[in-house]
Amino acid sequence: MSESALQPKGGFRRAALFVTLGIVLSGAIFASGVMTGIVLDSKLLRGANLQPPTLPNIAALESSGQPQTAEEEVDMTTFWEVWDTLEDRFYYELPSPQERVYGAIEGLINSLNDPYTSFVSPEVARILEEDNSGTFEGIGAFVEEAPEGGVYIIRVFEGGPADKAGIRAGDIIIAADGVDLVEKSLQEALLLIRGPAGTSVTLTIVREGVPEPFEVSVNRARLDIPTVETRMLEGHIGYVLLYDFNARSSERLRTAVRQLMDQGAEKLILDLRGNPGGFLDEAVSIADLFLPEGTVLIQRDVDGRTREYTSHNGDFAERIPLVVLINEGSASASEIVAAAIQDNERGTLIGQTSFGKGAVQLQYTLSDGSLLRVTYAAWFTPNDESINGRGVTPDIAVEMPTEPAGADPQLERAVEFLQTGH
Amino acid sequence: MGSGDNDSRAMWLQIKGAFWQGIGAGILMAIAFMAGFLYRQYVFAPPTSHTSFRLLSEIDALLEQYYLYELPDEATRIHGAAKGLVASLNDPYTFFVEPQTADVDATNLAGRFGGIGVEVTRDEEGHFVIATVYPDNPAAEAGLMVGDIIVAVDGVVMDTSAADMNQLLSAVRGEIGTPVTLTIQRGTQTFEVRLIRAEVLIPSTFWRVVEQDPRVGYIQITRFTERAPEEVRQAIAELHDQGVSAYVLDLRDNGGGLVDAAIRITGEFLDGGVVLYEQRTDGEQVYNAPRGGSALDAPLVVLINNGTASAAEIVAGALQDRGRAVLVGQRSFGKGTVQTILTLSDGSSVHITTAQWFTPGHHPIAAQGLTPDIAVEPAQGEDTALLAALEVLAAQLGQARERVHRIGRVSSVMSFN
Repeated sequence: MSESALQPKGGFRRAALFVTLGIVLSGAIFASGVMTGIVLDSKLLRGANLQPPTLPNIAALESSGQPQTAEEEVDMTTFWEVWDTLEDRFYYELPSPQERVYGAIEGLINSLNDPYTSFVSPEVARILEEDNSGTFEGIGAFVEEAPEGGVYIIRVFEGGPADKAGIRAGDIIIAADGVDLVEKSLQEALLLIRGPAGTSVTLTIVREGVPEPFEVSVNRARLDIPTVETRMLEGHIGYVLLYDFNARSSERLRTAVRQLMDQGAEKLILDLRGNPGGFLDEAVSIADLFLPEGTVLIQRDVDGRTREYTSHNGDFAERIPLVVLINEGSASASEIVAAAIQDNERGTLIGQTSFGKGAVQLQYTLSDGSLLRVTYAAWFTPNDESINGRGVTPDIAVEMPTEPAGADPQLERAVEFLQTGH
Repeated sequence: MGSGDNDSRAMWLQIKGAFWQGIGAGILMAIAFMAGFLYRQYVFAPPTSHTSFRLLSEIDALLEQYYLYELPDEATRIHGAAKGLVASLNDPYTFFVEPQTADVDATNLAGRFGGIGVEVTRDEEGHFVIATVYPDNPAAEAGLMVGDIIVAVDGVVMDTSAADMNQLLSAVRGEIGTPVTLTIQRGTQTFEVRLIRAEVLIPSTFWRVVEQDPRVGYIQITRFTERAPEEVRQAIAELHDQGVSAYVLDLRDNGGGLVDAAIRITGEFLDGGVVLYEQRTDGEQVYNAPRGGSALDAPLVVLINNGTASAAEIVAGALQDRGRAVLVGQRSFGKGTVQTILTLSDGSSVHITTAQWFTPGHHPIAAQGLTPDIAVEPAQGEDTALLAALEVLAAQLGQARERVHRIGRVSSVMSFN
C-alpha cells in the first residue's frame, strides 16, 4: 500500500528529473550546434586567407611563400552595419551585391593611398590581359583619355583599320555604336571600341576644325600591339624604340637588335622614352641582352627578403656601344633597364630624369576573374639605390622643346655622342 | 527453462527498449543539433552570400600579407570599404562619415540644406563679392572677410556673366556636414578654403508691406529653422494689423531646413489636410497641416526659383497642389528625398536616402522640381517675379485696374504654363 502510494510520487519526480535533464541536454546540444556553426563559419571565412594567390605574373612568388593565416579576424562590424542598413533602408534600388562589393574593395584600396595598389574588375582585366599578350582585336590606335571626356587618338597604327577608315591623331572618339563614351572611363570605352576581328564598329568622332561630330565605320582586325620600331641611322647607328614591356617584348627586341646588327649596325640607341613599363621578367631579359654577368636589380619584399636579379654572359649585344634615351614618361621596367645599364657602366643615358617608380606589384587573379595588384616589394639599382620618387638621372641631360614640331634634340645628342664619344 | 526463457525474453525486451530509446534520444539530439546549427545560420550568418563576402576578405587578407608599406589601421580600412560601398550607390545624398566628423552632424539634420554663412553681392565685373560674413558660421570661422571674391566652388569657376547667383548658390549650398572648397581671391592673392556646410544661424523671416501695393504683404523665408514658424506667425499678425489682405510668400533661394517647421508654416495658409506624403521602402506616411492658421483665405502667391529646395519645395508644392497659391518664378531645385542619419557602433555614421517626398497630388519633388504656374525669369535691376506676383494678386483682389496698368509692363516676361 505504502509502496503503491509512493510509486507514482517517485515516478513524477523521476519524470520531472528526466524532463529537466532532457531540456538541459537538448539545450546543450543545440548550443553545440550553434558553436559548431560559428567555428565552421569562421574557418570558412578564414579559408579566404588560406587560398593561395593564383597567377602571380609580375614576379614569381618565393617557393616557400606559404601564405600565413591572418592572426586576428578583421572586425567588419561597421562594414556590415552599413551593408545591412543600406539593404534595409536605402530608398532607391541598390546596385547588385557584386557591384557593391567591388565598390567596397575600391574603397578599401583607396584607404591605402598607394597609387600602384589597385583592383581591376573582370571586364577590364580582360583588356589588360589582351594588352599584355602582345596582340589584340580592335581598331589599331594608341589612345588616352581625353581631358574633357572621350577617347583621344594619340596615333593610329599605319595601315590598321583606324588608319584605313581615315581616323587621325588628335581625333576624339565620343561614342561607339551610339553609346556615349564621354562619361565612361578609358577602360569602359575600350571595351566598347574593341571587339572580335571581322566585326565593325561605328565611331562618332570630334575633330578640330570640323564643326559637327561625324561618324566613321571601322572594321576591327586582329593586330599586333607595336612593341618595337627600328631604324638605321647614319654612321651605322641602329635605333630601336621599345613601346612597353609586354609578354613578348624581350623576344621582339632581341630579334630587332639582331636584324639591325646583321644590317651593319655598330652602335645602338635604345629609346625608352614614354615607355610606362610592364613585366619585371621582361625588363630583366632585356637588360640581360646588353649586360654581361652582373646585377640587374635588387628587390626587397614585404617580409624583408632580398632577391637579386642577375644578367649572364653570352648575349650578342653585350659589347655594342649603347645609348639609352629616357624621359619623365619612362617608368618602372624602363627605369630598371636604364638604371642597370647606368650602374653597370654599360652605356650612356641621355634625355630627362625618369618617372621614379621603384615599387613592384604582384598581380593576383581572384576567384571571380578580377585582379588585385599589390605593391609588395621595392626595387633598388645594382648600386643599391632607390629611384622611387626620384627617377633615374641621365648622364647627359637634354630637354625636349615643344617647338618646332618634329625636332628631337635628345636623339640628335645621342647620335652625336655615339659618333664623337662625348 | 521456462524461467530462463522468460529471463532472456525480458532481457531482450529490455535491450530492445534501450535500443529504441537510444535511437529516439539520438534522433532528438540530432534534431537539437541541427536546430542549433540552422539557428546560427539565420541569426549570426554574415548578411550576404559567401562569395561576395569572400572577395572582400580575400583582398584584405592579401593586402595584409603582401602589401609592402605599412597598412592603415583596421578601422581606416573598414571605413574605406564602407565609403566605397556607399559610393557604389551613386546617390550624392547617401554617404559615410567617419567617427571624428560624425559628431558635427548632431542627430537629426537629415534632409537639411546647409550653407557657409555669408551674403554675396556682385561688383561691376560680375564678381561674387562677400558682403556680409555672419559670425559663428563656417565662413567666419575659416577667416573669410567682407570683400573676398569667390572665384570658384569645388574647382568650378563661377560664371561672372550670369544674370543671377543661382550657380553660386546651388554650388555653395548642400547637405549639412558636407565639405565645400572655395577658391577665394583677396587682393592679389588667390587661395582655397575648405568649409563644412552648417545650418546658418541668422533670422530666417523678413517681412514688409509692398510699396507698389499696400494691400499686399511680403514675407520672405530664407530657411526653415526652428524659430521660423513663430516668425511667420508674427509676420502675418503684423502685416494684418497694417491692413494687408493678400500675401506674397518668397521662398526663392530657400534651401529648406526643418520639415516640421515647413509643415507648421503651411498650416498658416491651409486649414489641415495633406501637406506631403513621405514614401519609404516599407510604406507611406502622410503629414497633415495643423489647423487654426492665421492666413487661410487671403490671396497668396509663392515665389520660387531653382534655389528653392527641400522643405521649401514641400511648402510650395502643397500650396500649389491644394489650389491655395499660385507659384511664380522658376522651376524649383528638386531636392525631394529624405536622408536618415544612422550612427553605427563605432561612432561613425551613414547618411542614407531613405524616403522620397510627394506633394498632396502625388507628384514627386525629386529631380523634376516644381513647375511654376507662371514662369518668370529674373532680370537685372527689377524683381520681375515679385511684379508678376503683384499682378496676379491685384487681379484676385479686384478693382485694381489702375495698378495693374502701372505694372502691366511685366507681362512681356511672363509666360503661362
